[in-house]
Amino acid sequence: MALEPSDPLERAARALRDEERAQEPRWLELSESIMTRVRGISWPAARVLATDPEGRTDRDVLGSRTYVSSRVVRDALRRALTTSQVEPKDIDLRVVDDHLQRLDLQLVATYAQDLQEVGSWARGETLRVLDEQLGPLPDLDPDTDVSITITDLHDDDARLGDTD
Amino acid sequence: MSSSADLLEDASAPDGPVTDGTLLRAARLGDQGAFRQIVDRHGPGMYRYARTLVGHEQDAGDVLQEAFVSAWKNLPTFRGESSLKTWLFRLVHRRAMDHHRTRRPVPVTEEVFADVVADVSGDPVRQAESRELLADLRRCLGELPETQRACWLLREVEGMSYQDIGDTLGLPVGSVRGQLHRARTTLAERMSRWR
Repeated sequence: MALEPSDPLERAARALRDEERAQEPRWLELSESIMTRVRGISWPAARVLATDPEGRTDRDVLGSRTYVSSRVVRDALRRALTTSQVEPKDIDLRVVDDHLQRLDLQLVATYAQDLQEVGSWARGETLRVLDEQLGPLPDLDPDTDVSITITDLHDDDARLGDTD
Repeated sequence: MSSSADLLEDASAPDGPVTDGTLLRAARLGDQGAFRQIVDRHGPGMYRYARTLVGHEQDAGDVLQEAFVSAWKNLPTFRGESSLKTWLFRLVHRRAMDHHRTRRPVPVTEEVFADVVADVSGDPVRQAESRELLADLRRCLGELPETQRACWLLREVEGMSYQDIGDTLGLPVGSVRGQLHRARTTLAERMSRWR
């Protein structure tokens, strides 16, 4: 059992630190209300025109079209590109007149990896997700309109931007 | 060296402790689950800090909520010039100062904190002493100038480095040292009756 410090200020500071344990039930309630408010705040998003497997935008004779929120596409890309060795840092979709025209992707990866292999894997995953979410995109050239930049990053670095 | 096959096999959520950097990157891309983990990791300390600064649980809860809502809204533009923890404490500090400016100060009474601390020893005498000690500390803290109080809390309770305290409060490190020294001296003197 740890000895109690003789200094009253240190004892009081310890009591203040220990307070967290006593506050747990209140904290759970509070964190839930924080997340309720957060879930009610949506970030800006654009609609992106999706195509059918043949690359057609019109789904029927009436000209029905399907749109997917850029937020959904970003989320799918984020999930697909997150592993224990790679994480997306930024996913920027440029949408003009409902068409996805460009995708800029920044990744961070742990050290000691073949970054060309990582890049190649990430490109394959990215194109697979785009096809899955939006269908074939005739306006998007995968070679010139999809940019993937990799930033090497140490695993335990808790800051962004330090390794740019 | 990893191969593409390794990466693909690893494509589920990583095991083990997740760093702040990983949570931050995911949350910046809209991952609410990652933001929830940030809230649960840093929120209790921020709440404790807010409560000591504003002196009232309900108000501290409001301050904390505003800080996290602001964090969520500003995540896409947060470039990581400071650590996540420092940034979050800066947000809660600002909201607490806003609160001070808009509300009349509420006198802190022992009763406010009477049920806050549970002494884990189970000894009623020690529990009572612990409650009184903490209430006295809070009274003494309440009498300190705001910057001294903030410096002391961030150092002694939240364990921040001088640099991080400076980043949180917008002060040079030398000033943090000075404020902390004055706070420690004053508190030690006022708490000396507990020796």
